[in-house]
Amino acid sequence: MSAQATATVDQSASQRRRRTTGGGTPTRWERFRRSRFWRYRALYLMMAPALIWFVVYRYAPMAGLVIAFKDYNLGLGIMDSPWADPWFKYFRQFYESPYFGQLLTNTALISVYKIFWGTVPSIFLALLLYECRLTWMRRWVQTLSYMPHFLSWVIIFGIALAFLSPSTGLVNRWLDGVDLGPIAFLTSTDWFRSVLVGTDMWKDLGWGAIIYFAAMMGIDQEHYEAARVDGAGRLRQIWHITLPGIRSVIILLFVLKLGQILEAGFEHVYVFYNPQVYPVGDIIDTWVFRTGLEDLNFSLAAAVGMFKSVIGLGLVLIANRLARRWDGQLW
Amino acid sequence: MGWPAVVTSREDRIVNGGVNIALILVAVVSVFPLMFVVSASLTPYSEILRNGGYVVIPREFTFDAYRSLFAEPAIPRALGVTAFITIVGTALNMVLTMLLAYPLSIRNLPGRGFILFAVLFTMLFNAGMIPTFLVVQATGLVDSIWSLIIPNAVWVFNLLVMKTFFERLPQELFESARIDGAGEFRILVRIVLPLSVPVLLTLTLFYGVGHWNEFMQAILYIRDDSLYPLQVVIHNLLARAQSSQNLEAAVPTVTLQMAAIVVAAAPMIAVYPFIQKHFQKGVTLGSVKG
Amino acid sequence: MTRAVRRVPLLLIIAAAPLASCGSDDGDGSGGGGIASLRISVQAADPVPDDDPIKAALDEEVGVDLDMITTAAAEYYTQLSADSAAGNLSDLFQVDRPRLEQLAEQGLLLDISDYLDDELAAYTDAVEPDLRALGNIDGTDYGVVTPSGYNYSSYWIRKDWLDNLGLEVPETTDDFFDVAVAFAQDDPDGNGHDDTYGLTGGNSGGLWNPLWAAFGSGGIGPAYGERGGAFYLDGSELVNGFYDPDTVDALEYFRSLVESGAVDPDFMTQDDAQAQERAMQGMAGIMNTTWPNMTKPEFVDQYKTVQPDAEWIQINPPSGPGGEGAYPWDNTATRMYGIPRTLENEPEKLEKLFELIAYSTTEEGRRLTSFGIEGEHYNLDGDTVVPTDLLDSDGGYFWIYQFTGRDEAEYMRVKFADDIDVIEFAENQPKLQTYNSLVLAPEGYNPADAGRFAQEGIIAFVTGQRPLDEYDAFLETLSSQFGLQQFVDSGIDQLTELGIS
Repeated sequence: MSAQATATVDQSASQRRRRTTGGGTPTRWERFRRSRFWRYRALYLMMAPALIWFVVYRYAPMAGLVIAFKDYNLGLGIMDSPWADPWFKYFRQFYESPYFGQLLTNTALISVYKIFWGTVPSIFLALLLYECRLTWMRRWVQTLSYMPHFLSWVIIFGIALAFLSPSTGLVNRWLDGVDLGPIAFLTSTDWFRSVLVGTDMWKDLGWGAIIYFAAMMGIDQEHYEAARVDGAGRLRQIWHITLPGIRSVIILLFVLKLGQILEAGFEHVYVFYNPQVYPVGDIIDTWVFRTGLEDLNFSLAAAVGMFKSVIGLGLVLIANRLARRWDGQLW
Repeated sequence: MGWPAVVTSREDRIVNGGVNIALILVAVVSVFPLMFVVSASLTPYSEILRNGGYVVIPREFTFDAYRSLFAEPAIPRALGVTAFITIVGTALNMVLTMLLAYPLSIRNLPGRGFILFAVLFTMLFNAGMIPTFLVVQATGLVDSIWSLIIPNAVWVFNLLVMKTFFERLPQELFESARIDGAGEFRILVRIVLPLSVPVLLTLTLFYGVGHWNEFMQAILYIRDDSLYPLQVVIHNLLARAQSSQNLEAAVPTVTLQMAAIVVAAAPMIAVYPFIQKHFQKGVTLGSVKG
Repeated sequence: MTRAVRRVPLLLIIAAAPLASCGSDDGDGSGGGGIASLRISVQAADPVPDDDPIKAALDEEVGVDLDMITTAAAEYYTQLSADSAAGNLSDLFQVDRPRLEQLAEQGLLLDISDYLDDELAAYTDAVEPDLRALGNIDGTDYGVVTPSGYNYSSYWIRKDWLDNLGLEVPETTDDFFDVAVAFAQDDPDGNGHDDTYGLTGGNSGGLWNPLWAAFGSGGIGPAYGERGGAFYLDGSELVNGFYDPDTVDALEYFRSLVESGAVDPDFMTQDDAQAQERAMQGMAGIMNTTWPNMTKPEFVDQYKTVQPDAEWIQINPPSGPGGEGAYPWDNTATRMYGIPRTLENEPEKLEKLFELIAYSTTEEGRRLTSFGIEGEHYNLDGDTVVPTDLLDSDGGYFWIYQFTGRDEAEYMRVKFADDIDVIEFAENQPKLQTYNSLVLAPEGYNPADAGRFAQEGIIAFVTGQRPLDEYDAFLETLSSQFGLQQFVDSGIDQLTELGIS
């Protein structure tokens, strides 16, 4: 469809070209005026403010990433600080930590669980909302499920403690009642990741659904009418129209989340964890925080950040290549 | 527009019933812990202690916590700052994001792939706190309210979401408008934006909530405490009792903490229903295609 | 629709215009001749009122224009890092010792050695050399040190529970054990439910603090050894708590307490404030806490409503096989201030800064920064300070101006006259001097990795997940693989060099 449209534009443009120049050797200016860039000048002009902003506030600071390879000295500044010896000194400090492997595994696992449990239930909720015929119910559920997003992790930890504490927690009182005994959810290595993923899902279930719901709003109603005429039931309509209709948005969000795979949510983990669950809960960012805490080690933080970014970039590149198969590539 | 008025089949009835039950479940799961927060903010502290740290439905009401919160002179001022950065910041965000997302949604724009990758790259490679601070300082924004707006003028995530939504619009609409001689800006304003109301509102919400919850940038860039936004002031209020030097500071009770959370979140929760009102089920593109 | 879209930005600009002006009025009084402006950063959550009488008085006294920047908790150090990198440090800023060392190494701090006998002589006289040593890095003085105040911590116990069960105030670790177990098992509140614990506390591990000494150990520092153990004198020998055999005895005692069920099972997850709240709910009968937490009216009123019979009293730490219990006492709580090196180029400013510091050591300066303005916040009766109600309501933040400390005894007498017994009881608790804050980590030692391994191990010992027979194996791994040995050797060298032995 779009290829067809392009062809139309090219055709009309070439007609115009023939009309204006006639014969003769075109000057450089004329050549430029004939180029594709000139044709889209209005669009480039439109993009200019945001692109300039990106150069100033996103690309200019990136020069600072060199501190990953330097012994960054606050007094000397980024450019005058001496190069680290060897240049991979801070990468090595991370790699040589006895906990390196565990940190990587924990981070990736927590992240993958969070991606799954942060995506699928939200899509499901958006579908429920979309299929709900009672406007008042839809509005209420949307608003209520959106509210937990506004609680900070510190507060959610307080609520979690009220539910899960082995001594006073509501859940444990109930478990005690049915003779399953108290479970120390927050200090147990068996339960800790589930607690993290569960609280994450709870916090952002409704918030995450907003975007999928908005995507469903954009689906052309004619498709449903056509399907109904063909006798398709509700479930088939969901499967064949609604879900494919938001495919590009699902792919986009998934690819973006993959890029952050080594993030896993610093604040969330930092508030929830304790030494007893370090073996399953300590992640890269909490390690950097504890290590850098004492000595303002910005070079280490930059090196680890770069490591995380490179992995994220690799995954995004692969995912984008795969997404081409569904015409969902980002670029 | 909307749903067929009559329930036609058994499948329909089952689906409707299942949907409603599931939604009620979601509502209960979401609201139960939240009732802790609201109830605790309205209950005398001694009542909370007596109940083992929380109450679900308060038996005694008190607005003391809210009263002492608003007695804090910094709170009204901080509300002003936060309202300013939310309104102006979101407006700037949306304008810049639209102006970049629309061209990038046009698939045959030369250089599109490169620009998209370059933009996405900044999401993956974060320059870090110090280098960003140095640029913000070099552009003269430190200790000005604009430092809370300009350094975050475009979010890559929101940009890509908007671009993806624009791409889903039927491209032939734009082409026919172009052939009719409409300028790109006119197409954006007259065709693209009116067809994209749900996503525009969603992203306005995302940006708005982001500004409303502003904390870290204020800590980094603001020194003058009259420019602190709401979240920082509330954070300080709750942190005050931890300073060992101030021996007489009133310790923020659970009641006060919860009241602070309610005050900080209420305006953003209050705007949501208005946004929802504009979430009309599906556009019928036939009418525009004409 | 389109019309609405067009109207929105206009509306926003109109709405925003009046607010925009507040963003632009920065940098008042910094340039120009006349009065020097001094910017001072303090780690504090207290808001400073716009019409701050202390600032006005100091401005007039010293002839400056003070600009106080207060930032809460951890965020303070985020700002400090940004300011250091941007060459934008305040003229006087609070630091802790590890950061003082780092900023000094990076050449950002003013060497104050030469001023100590001259412009800063008043400071030199006012603060003891032992404390001033904290501001010294590798033989050079950088930090202006604020002496720490009293010790506020002690064990508090439910006297009414003791009476209900016919028990005496525990004096030995064995009594302490029995009381804690009885509190957990014998229904001390007589409500017929098994809903009480003996001892509660938060994840800082503070609940054990004074007990280490009862077994002859100096402990392993806060949060179960997270920062590499405590350095202290065992007899005349400098040791680190991890390598003190008495530490194992103490751990064994903690383990048995936890195992008996006398300790609140959330002691690893909750923070100190949450633990405090539980004690006030009547869930636990013993905790280690500071007196302001027990005497503030908002607390007392509350716990009295919930538990009308509750009677909390302070007790001395129990004594044990290793002697009397004692609180590990370090100077870590001490504040200190750095001065940026760039101030060398602004001699007038520097001179004013020294004047300000000198003034804060004088009796007049101390009174001002402790009690405010005479006639407003306090009155003088002969030589005695009599506070007014205004001091009570407004005086909370005055401490941010106490650059060289305060006269703690007078301060307490004036401001907390009703609680003076409690205050002195806490201050008179036995102390065990530790020296952790003087030790700087050697190159190549990662305190975070070692700290994590230490914490995990110690907690496993305390909770009984790992038998204490394995302590030696644990210590061996910690010493070699995690480099604790290197840290301890370096620490003992550093301390010996400072003349501690």
